[in-house]
Amino acid sequence: MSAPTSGAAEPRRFAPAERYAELAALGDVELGARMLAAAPTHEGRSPERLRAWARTAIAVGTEMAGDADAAGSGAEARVAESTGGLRRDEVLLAEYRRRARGGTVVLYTDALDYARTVAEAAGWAADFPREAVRAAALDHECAHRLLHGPRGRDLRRRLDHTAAAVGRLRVRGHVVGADEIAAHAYAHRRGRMRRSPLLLTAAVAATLAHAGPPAPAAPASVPSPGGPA
Amino acid sequence: MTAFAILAVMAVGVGLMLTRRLPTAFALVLLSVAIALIAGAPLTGDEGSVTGTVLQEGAPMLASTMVAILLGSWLGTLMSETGIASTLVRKIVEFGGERPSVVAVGVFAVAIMCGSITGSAPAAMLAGVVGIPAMIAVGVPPVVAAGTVLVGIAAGLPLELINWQFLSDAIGVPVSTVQHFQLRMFPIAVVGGLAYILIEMRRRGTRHTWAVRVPAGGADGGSGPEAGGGPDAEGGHGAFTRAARRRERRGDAPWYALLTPVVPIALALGLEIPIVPSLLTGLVFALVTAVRWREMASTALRSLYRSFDVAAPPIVLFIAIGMLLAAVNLPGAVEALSPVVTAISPSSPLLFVAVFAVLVPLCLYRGPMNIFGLGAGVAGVLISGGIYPPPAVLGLMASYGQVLGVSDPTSTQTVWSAQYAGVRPERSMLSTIPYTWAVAIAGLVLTVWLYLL
Ligand SMILES: [Zn+2]
Repeated sequence: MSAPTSGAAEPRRFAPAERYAELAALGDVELGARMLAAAPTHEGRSPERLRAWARTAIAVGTEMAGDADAAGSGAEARVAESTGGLRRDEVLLAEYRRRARGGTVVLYTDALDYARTVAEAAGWAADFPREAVRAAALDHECAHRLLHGPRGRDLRRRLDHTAAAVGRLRVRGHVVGADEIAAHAYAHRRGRMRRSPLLLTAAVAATLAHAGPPAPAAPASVPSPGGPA
Repeated sequence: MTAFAILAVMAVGVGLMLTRRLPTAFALVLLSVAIALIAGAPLTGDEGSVTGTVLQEGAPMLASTMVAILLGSWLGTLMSETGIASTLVRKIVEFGGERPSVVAVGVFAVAIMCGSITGSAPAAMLAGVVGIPAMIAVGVPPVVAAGTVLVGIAAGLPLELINWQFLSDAIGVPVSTVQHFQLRMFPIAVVGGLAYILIEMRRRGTRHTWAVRVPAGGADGGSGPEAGGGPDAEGGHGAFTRAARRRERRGDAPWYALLTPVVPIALALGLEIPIVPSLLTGLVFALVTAVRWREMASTALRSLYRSFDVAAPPIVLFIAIGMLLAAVNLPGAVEALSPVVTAISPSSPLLFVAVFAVLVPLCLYRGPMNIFGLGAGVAGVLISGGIYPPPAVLGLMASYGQVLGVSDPTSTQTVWSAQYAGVRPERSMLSTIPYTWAVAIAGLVLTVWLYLL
């Protein structure tokens, strides 16, 4: 476990308001494509290719949620709450640990509070109410659990990425990060949220980008949320 | 009496390195001078003097190793710049993606190749810059992701030409003897590494998160000028332009260029070509296969100059180790230390394994059995005192090398890998040490079987 920078929910500076507005103007596909662009192994891929993958992953996640709504399936994993989600170089909102004998979901309450503070700073308090952010975290990890099964194979088939081809023989490849976008879309639909959690994730990333590699936060150095930077 | 004074000075030296009051290289130089003076060496003179023998002759004693390090670092830098290493990792992730254990084993294999080309943190970066976040993204727990790269480069160590040259120079055995032992150590290290990955993956399971990471800008790219890259978090508006820039810098390398890491070892083992020409051939192969004709000369020169940054710390260390070896080999030091070391060194094969197995932790935290530090001096004493045949000392130090290469929380590759994965180096040590300790014990048994029976 890396040491949390501080116990407080706002150890970092926030991004300028224009930055949030810019993100809010983007569609889910674009947000997803940008998330993919930042994922390892996608350094050389074209934006068009990444957008197509993001679109597919969002569709799969949304369908999964529709089916889950119909089936009324609940979470089967144990849920625990913890602090320590605000780390030196990471904001960890939730985590699903899958073992042979069942899984555990851990919600990091300090990080969820932080995300909620970012949403307020961006002026999206109504889009991301506290309970909705928490539910989104649970749904996100539920999606990861589902993606371990046939849903994951479905996603892989529909992404249809060729890892290698020799003549007519093709080997279908794994797309790193597509499951992450599907999980975001799943939570979006399951929680009947007005905006996708993709936007919230992008906003949290923007605050980290703005603050740089987070210095150990001295409380005095934290400007008021949303203020000019 | 002289012996105890020398041992006391060594203990002070370990203390200085351990508490980080002094960089290891500087501490070793001071230690060399102090040992020489205590051993009664004159300040000046041709035979066995402090300035003549320890400083002047000691400094270039490991010169062959230094040249090998520079070439290995050059090849490593080139593999990073041309995208050879990252392409290897990307292919593995694409093929094995939904099975985290498969991805981890694949990155392990890449890390073995990287570890056979160059050492310590540059090797870890070569495999880990893309490999560690990719493993985490497919569900490998961060501590296992860091450990996988570390056990990989350590398993590559027995095949590393630089390491052959170093052990040959430092212990005073022919390179062929080092090969003889290391080729038998290699499968042990591979089995140990695989055991680590498969058992720890089973024990810890997989992990998926909702998380936002600050990209490790300072760690990206392995080395060189842009390594101190600015704090630009991913997922922002610059993501595509940055990706494009990176693509320019290291796009996909062609498949035949991916054979680069096996070229030097294949030449050295298959055709018995010496170390420097083997590494040079690997360099030419990488340039010809992965760099456009017009850019070849400029890429070669730029990556060579960049590799000096990478090679500087080990070269400085090896200058100091040369001096230390010269000091402990002074007649006065040998005479004083031999009886003491003979008295405490285990003589029977069984005791050899048992005692040195218990002493394994002494190679951690820059301890006295670290071959890249005071351990070189200890090895020198064990040999000059005639306590064990040189190949046995080689086996001992190579076995310890497996522990300190992976688990030592103060070694640069451990610090880099752990922090890049977001875990503390001490956690990485606790996770790997049961496995590396077992590998070391197996190495000690191998040593006894080959050289002491
Ligand atoms: Zn996720």
